[in-house]
Amino acid sequence: MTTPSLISRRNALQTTACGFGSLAFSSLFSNQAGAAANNPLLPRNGHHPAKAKRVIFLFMRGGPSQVDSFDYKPDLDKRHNEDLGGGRKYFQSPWKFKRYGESGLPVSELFPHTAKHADDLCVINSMHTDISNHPQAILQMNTGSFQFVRPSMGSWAVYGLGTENQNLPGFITINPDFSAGGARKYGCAFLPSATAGTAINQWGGGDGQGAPSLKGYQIPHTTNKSMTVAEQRRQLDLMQSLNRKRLDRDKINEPLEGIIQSYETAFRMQSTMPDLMDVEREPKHILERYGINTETTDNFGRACLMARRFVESGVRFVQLNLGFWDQHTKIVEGHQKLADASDQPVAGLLTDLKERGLLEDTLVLWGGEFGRPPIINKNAGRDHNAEGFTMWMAGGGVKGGLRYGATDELGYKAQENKVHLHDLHATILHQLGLDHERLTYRYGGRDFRLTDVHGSVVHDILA
Amino acid sequence: MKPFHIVILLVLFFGAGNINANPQAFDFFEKKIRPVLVANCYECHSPESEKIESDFLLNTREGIRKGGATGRDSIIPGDVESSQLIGAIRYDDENLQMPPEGMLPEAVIRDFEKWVEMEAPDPRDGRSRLPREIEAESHWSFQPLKKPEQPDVKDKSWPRDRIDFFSLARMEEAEVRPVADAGRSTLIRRVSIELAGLPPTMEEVNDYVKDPASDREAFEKVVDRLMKSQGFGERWGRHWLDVARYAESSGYTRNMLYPYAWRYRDWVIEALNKDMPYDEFVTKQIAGDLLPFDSLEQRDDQRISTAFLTIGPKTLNEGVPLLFELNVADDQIDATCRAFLALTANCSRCHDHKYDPIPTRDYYALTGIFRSTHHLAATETNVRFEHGQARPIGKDGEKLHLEIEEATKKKDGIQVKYLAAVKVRNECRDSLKEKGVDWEKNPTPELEEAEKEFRKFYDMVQAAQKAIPDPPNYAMSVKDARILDEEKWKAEFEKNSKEKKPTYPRIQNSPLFEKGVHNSPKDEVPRGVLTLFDDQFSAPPISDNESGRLQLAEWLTDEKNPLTSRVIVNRVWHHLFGIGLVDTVDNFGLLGSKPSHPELLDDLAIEFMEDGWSVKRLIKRILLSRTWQLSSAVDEKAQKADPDGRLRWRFTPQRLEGEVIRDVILFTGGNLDQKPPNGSQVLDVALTQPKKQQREIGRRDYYTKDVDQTVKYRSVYLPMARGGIFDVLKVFDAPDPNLVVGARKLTTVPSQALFLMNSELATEQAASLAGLVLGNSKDLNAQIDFVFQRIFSRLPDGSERQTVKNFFEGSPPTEELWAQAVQAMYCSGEFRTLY
Repeated sequence: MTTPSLISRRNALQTTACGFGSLAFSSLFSNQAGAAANNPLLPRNGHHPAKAKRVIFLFMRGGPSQVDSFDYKPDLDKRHNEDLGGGRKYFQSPWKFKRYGESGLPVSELFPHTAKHADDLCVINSMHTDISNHPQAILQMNTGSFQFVRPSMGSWAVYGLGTENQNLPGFITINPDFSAGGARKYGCAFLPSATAGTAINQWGGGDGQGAPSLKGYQIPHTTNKSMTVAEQRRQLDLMQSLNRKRLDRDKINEPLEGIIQSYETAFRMQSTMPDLMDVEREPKHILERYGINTETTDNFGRACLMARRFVESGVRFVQLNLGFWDQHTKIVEGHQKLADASDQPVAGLLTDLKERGLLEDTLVLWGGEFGRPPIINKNAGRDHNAEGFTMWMAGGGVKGGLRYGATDELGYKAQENKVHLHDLHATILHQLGLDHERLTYRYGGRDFRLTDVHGSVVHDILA
Repeated sequence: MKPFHIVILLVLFFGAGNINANPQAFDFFEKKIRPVLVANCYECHSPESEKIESDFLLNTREGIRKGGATGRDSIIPGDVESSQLIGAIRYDDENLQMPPEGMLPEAVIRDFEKWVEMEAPDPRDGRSRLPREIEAESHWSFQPLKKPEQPDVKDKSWPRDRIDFFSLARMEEAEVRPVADAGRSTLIRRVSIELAGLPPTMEEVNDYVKDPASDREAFEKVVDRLMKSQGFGERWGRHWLDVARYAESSGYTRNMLYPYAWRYRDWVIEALNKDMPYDEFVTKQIAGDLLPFDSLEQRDDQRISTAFLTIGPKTLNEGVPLLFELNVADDQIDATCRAFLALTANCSRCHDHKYDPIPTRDYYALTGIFRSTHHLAATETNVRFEHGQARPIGKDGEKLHLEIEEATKKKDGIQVKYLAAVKVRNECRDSLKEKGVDWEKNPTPELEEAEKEFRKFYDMVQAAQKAIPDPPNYAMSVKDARILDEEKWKAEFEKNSKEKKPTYPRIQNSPLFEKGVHNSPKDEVPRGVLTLFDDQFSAPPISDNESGRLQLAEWLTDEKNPLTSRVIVNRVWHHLFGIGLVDTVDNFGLLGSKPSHPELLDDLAIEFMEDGWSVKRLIKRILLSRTWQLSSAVDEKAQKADPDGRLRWRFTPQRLEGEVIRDVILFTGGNLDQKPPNGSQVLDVALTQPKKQQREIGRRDYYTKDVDQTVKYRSVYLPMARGGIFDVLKVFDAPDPNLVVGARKLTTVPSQALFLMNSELATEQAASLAGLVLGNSKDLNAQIDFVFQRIFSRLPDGSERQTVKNFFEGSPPTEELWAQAVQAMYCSGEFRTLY
């Protein structure tokens, strides 16, 4: 996977034997492989057998505090209120921790619902990243680089594997905000544009109000205001017969074949996308499980249920965005509010995936762009901390009930079995069957990777 | 590594060491050192190695001293502890232990230490060059241009122009025949869209098809007409804007508007329309502000053109000023080298270029030039203000700007007093209120006095506000930085940092930053250009009090520069054929592709320069060739031999860009406004927030809710905020404006289909054209002809006519039904493709 485009003609032909199996090369002409070049979404195998077929990334934008959630630090209690000057002091978590499940994984009372899945969670306490400014750190989380324009994680996944359902985008991001890198967070940079994330409910961001409701939201251009479905089908038939006449005349016109195909897919997408997004088709007990129609949990519940419906239908990478966990002031109110909004939906998602047998090959990932220090500031908030934070994974071939790595005794800096963001990226790709060192794209004279020149797979957390 | 270092080493150590080296010293080397090297090291570190590990060759004196990929000197004669090779054989560093199979005997290690102490005498002359460095020296695009002979062809009747001889010769070599020529009706649609981005009108088609003049003459007339139209600059300007990573905001972390970037856009369009010689076009973008001028308009134009250097993406919340500065310089180096030279010089930021002969030192020589440049982008945040100023233009622009600053300062001064007076008055009122006194009815003398003061200052503020002159026009631009010595600059920086004020750059060289890390500066590199053509020609010297941009421009546009003309000629070819003679249009380095017709490329490049670097004449020369005028029919044999069409045996169909699709839809619907808008929506939105720091896209929906997507002017003028590009462009593969994009990746994906099926643009214009159809004729056949001519620039054949009739099921179509049919044609492959 190192030629200028993954699907360059020669490469596509070479790959046919080992992955492009489903692609029909109907003509003798090698140019036909252009069909793959035209559609980077066709599914293909990775470098090695995959443990996870898809990813759901629950991105907690703003940086949730680890010592208040999944990184239990009893020693912090002993240093509670120790003055550090400038109005800053060590501060124990206002939320109590309890141990859950057979594994006895400690989780704070911020996340009582998620905690019930303790034995499925693989909590990485030793995460660290390079920079503690939101915009840069958010980009690094999503693209691996805080400095340069790079493709996002989801785009890389789709570039590597294509996607299972040709009637749906390969990468969907729900409730992304426009600030802090905007569309870069799910952009494809130099990768084929079809690998870019499709945004659902993109919103302004920046002032902490949270995304507007998903209820009734429609993706642009998926409905026609002036025609019925039957009328539109007739219209497409007219267009396709004009296309076919051209094709008959030209004999070989492979780009046109691609165009013909794209309309049929689009026509089907018009019903599949809104159907999938219409979560209210689900039975009542499922809606309740996600907290849909309950005010605090409704919006994120919808996002989570949509995510399940998408992955179930073959979408490769779904990202949910929730923010902002950036409480420099009044962390108790702020974190509680966001936890209340998301805990039950996330737990509901895990339950649902498990019930449907999807969790085993769906990698669920939860976390922010960085964490927060075990220190409270004069505004009763916690500031930024890139030197240590926590993320958790579930399903997708990772060990459940595991607490991996550790921060120092106060929960500040990653210390034991440190996992850098690049390592996390390498591990995610690994689970998808992709080798982060071989998943490359040549642009401007060099091969680019999600992990640049870094990253190693964290084998210790793999089941 | 650093050639400069090597020179010093050569002079200080090699020379000295070897002149003084006595035979015994060499003897020591021959007895104790060479055998060990041969036995233990050459397997992986000599030119004969299967793979040269870490790019380290130790089979010559030069090689063993300079070291490999670690970038550190391997042997520093006389300095045992600093010599990396000694550390490696001692196994000092667990990451670098050589040889890897096991440590050398203690005595041997002592010998090496002793040898280094003796200043490492070494008789092995010769340059140490990696195989890829040797390859780089003979790389095709770095060789001087050579005027080729016109090749011989067997079929002498086919070629019409010089270009045709070159293309036919290659075809004959591959035993491939060109397909038939395209007919006039195909050609006029092709050339109209190619040159002006719009299809021909019915009259234009008829005029050309019926023109009794010879094919060549008739076609030439069409080309000349199109090249004179405003649409030419709009179409070809957009091609350049892709390369120039044009956008109207900083993108990236904090996406701040660039309110005046649009002037650069207009400048590019205008430059193409008036066929500005390409060397001038290049020079003005790099150093226009430093050129002489005859008029104010010219001066302003030459300032606007330099916006090329500052419209790139910027991390405007970078807390470290130096890192910000280096990142901005990196963008400029990347844009400049990629756009004009198709070189990836920014690969050399952290290490010598892995493939092309661009050492890190060269990168920092360019960095010095760009760091000595002051950005006037009218864009700032509360973290980075250095680019906050704008360039006043127009008559008295500078003067007015200063007057405004002065008058604003005055007003601010009065404002302070006014606010104080308000405070005094309010306190008076409040204290009366507290005592239960109605201050309006029973003011105390004290309050009356305070009210008087308040009114006095109120009037003064009003007057001062009025005294501020109306602002001049502003441009986005750059200028040379100040000349200031380092200490003064540092003092200023310290002071400004405390007050959160900007410190503007000064003329300076940049140090080399090891591994690209901003806090590890090494020795300073004199400002200069790339050194890879030093043996062919050189750049003029840069004096201490100028940035060096002018010299960079001179070097770029020197007729001896083997890249500049080749690169632009290839870009033009790419746009006309859909695939370049070199298909990696932005990379002519070792990782780029080889040209399909190297002689033709050189021939065109030389003629281009001889012809005064005229882009229009270059385009015309290509268009008039028989090669370009071939039909797009497929020949099965040729298709097998050359599926990508690089031999040019046919005109390979091209998919149209979003700009063209939108413009043509509006045009055929009868609603395209061909008058260029004044300015940009970005400026309009920016002016709603007078405070620059508030102009952040997305924050409280700023910008996103303010732009109007329903405008009808041509697409090149649509607002181009990074991350906020309109859907119609985005779905049809708009280039990422963070990157230099000479060749758009054009895909076919369902989101494009959805756009054409359901967007307001498509449905509204289809309805509009339906109205025109019915107004044009009552006869169904005439209606069908009208629509086909309008949308496809041709008449339907019998079966197409029947298909449309079938759609109407025998009854006279309503406007609604016609709208559906028209939209079906907008969706069709033929509409989206150039044949």
